[in-house]
Amino acid sequence: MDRMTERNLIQRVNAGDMLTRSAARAPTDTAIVEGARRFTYAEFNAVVNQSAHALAGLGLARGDAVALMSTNNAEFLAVYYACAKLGVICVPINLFWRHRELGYVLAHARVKAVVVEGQLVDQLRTGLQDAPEAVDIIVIGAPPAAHIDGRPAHSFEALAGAAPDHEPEIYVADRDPIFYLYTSGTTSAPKGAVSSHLAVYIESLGVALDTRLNAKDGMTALMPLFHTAQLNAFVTPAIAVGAAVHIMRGFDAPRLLDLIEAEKLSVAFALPMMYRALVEEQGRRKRRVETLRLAIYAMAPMPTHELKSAMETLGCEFSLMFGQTEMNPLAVYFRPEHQLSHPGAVGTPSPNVQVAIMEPGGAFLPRGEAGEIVYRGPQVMTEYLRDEAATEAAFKQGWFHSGDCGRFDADGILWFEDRFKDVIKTGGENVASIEVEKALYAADPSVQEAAVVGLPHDRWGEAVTAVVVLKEGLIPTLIDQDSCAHLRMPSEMMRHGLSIRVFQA
Amino acid sequence: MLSETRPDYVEIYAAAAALGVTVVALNIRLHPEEQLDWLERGAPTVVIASGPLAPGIESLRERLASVVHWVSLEPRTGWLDYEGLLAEASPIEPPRVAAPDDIHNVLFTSGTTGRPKGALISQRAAAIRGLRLAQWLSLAQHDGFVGWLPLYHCGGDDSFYASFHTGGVFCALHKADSETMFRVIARHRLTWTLLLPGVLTDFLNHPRRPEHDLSSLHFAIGYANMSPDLVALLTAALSIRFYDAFGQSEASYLLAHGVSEPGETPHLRKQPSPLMELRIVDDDMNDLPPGVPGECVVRGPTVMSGYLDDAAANEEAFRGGWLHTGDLLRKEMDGALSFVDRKRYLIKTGGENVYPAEVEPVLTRHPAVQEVCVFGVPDPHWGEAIKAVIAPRPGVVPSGADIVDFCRERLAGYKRPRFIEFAAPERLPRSATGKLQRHELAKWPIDDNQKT
Repeated sequence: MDRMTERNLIQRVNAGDMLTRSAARAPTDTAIVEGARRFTYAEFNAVVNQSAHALAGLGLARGDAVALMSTNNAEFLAVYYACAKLGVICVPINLFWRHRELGYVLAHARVKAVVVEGQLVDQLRTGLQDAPEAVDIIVIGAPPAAHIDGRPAHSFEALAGAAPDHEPEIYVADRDPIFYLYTSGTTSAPKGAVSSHLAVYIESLGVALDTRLNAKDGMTALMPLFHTAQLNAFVTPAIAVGAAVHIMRGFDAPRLLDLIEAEKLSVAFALPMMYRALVEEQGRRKRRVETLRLAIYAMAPMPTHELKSAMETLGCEFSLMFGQTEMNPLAVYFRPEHQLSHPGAVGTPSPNVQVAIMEPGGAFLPRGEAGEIVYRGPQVMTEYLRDEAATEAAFKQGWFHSGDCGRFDADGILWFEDRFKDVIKTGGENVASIEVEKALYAADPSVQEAAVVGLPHDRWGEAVTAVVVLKEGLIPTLIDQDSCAHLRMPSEMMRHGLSIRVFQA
Repeated sequence: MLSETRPDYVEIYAAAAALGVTVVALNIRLHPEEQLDWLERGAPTVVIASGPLAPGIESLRERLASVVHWVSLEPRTGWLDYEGLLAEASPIEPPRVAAPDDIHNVLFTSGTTGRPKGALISQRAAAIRGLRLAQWLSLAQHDGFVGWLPLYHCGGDDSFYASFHTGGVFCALHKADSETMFRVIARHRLTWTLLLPGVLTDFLNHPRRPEHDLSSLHFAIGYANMSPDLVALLTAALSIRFYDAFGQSEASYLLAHGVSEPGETPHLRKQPSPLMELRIVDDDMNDLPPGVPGECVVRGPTVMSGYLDDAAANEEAFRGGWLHTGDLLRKEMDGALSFVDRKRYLIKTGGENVYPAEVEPVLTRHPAVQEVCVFGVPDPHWGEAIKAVIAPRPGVVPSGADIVDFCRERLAGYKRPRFIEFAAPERLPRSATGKLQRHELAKWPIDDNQKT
């Protein structure tokens, strides 16, 4: 081994090393459980090493990109960690992508190979013609044919099964990309956020610190692994400290409660509406869930009454994670002790994340004033892949611009106001779409869902427009389609009116 | 930097880190002539000294060509005044230009043989030392550290990095004065500290300890193999947990640890810490099976970048692509580690290997013994013979014959000391952190009166 690699292996930060070291420390501890399949740390690390040698055997090397298209399973994580150990860049594919959107990502990331779950091969083929550089297709489960669209198709199991399981000791720099995560743009093509080993490593430690994660924890992994939230706010911190990860293919309240009871799980991650379902299911049939110590939610706030009922039913603390793909992803943590004292807030900064509120000109705003949330810290993405202009814009003034609008309160707790781009500019006024949405829910019990957008308008620039879905069988009472008189909104926000388009569920 | 542990020292540490400037942390207990050696090797551009310590190195000014500015933390003629510089400086956030591989500080290791070596700690290593420590110890914002340790020692540095990551308190103390420690623990509700031999004894036996409310203290980190019974007394008295640590400046002070509950005798089995990879190997880097002592080698992001200007030492420290800790450990069947001894403390007597750590705990169980240090002395017949230097408990008149009898009932013949010397505890040479300096004791002459 050359000197440079030797020194790299001693001091580097590499997401794959977190697994290697947990396996060396506690080889017989449980690492991954997926249904009836169980892997100890030593077993899972061996599978990862075999996967790495299999990928390397196809000629993939440091700096090459590989697409990973799979539902939640152990193979997904095996490929992710194999790539990390090789310095190969993993490109998780969002399973909602098809056709041009999928083809765009495969081509833009310049993937040299695709690892795809057998049942998703047909979906992959809808975008494959746009990606001529993707020459090898590696199928989890049996490949349907020897070739897929003229490219050699391999069996993941056969390749990995035949490979050795020793550590692939390869030079990988701290700031080498570990994955590209494409964020779907509302107005433009998806952007590929480049994440480094250093970013994921520091973020994982920050999460472990915030959530007090340790080797005794057992954690759910039911949200999609192709999202950075499940992957890097939960799985990588768990692997770093040697906790057990329990993979589920999606949310199912009875099965999740059964799993928590049977496996004595201690940490859960789900969306607010899923916790609602868990509370209802516990009402139907009570499981013993006293091992659960922390239930984490994201994406949306939980109303206090729901939070209280969930805390009571599940008997554990709740917290919310707030961040974004470009932060890898946890930036701000709404801690258990703040849940009931500051309902609706998003929390305080995670270790190593510096948070400030900025006005468009670049000046910082004092506590209490709302502006764009900007971040600094080692876990910020490296750049947007091959998009100099977007990178420039995101990093201007020496801060990462989140695109989120928020403010700090007197206690130093951050409140999320809206996506910056969800601020509607109408006749010189800024209207936060979330405020109008909240008002609509409050004004009319027949509203099931509401989305408020700005539509181009000749006179006001943008016109505030609400798209409303009504609850089945209910007739709107307060909302009539041309009026917003009953909405409890500051009048200056709505002086240019609101048009509402109603749909029946 | 030449200063006691105090808030402005920590502040300067952080400021230097932000600028990418390297801190050479000087041992304040050294003689100025010894400091000259460190200063020449560190070749600093600026020397910052505390008021009480500045006069000591005044005499070196003529001889240090590299130094452009001399700054004193208290006003001093002929020196720049630190507070004055602060008052003139802009409060605006400076540009952060440091890169992860930049050297954050140089820690001169105590060097129990020969000249101290300067371990170069990178920004990355320092940051991850703190994060990992905070995570592993489950530190939170309400935790506060009793910072009596010198900042030229990783025990001080790693602890304040850990505190800063969680927003906790680092309470800087000039020195290890037990009564001051009691006062700040009570006043600031501090929760954790590091206790080393000497400091630990005084902390436990101090007559005024019961007058203070120390209930906020949750745990102490230390090195239990020095005196397990003392640790058990301490944890029982304070109702705290004890983390028996294994580590070193070159890699972080907490590479592995074992936890004992209040009143429990530490069992010395340690779990390796997250993010680090530890192996137990023979001289050819082959992994040794459980039960067999070998050198512990380590990899991980907290490892030093190398020793300052010392190619030979680096070659030796990093041979085979791993950092060699110089410590002998044993792996247990379940993956836990047990510390055996420093590799160089190994005594070879009549073809047998004896570790001081096998003999010292036996001797400390004798009621007359407060502290003991065991080492090898040249012996024409056996190659080396074992000598024990013993500090008796206060008010006890020890008898060599009694100790020999005690050993005869508990130790194999070749492990029994052939020489015993009694010395008052204050006569024993110690490092800045209170460790007994074995190499200094080994220089003490032997004579027939010491023969057993």
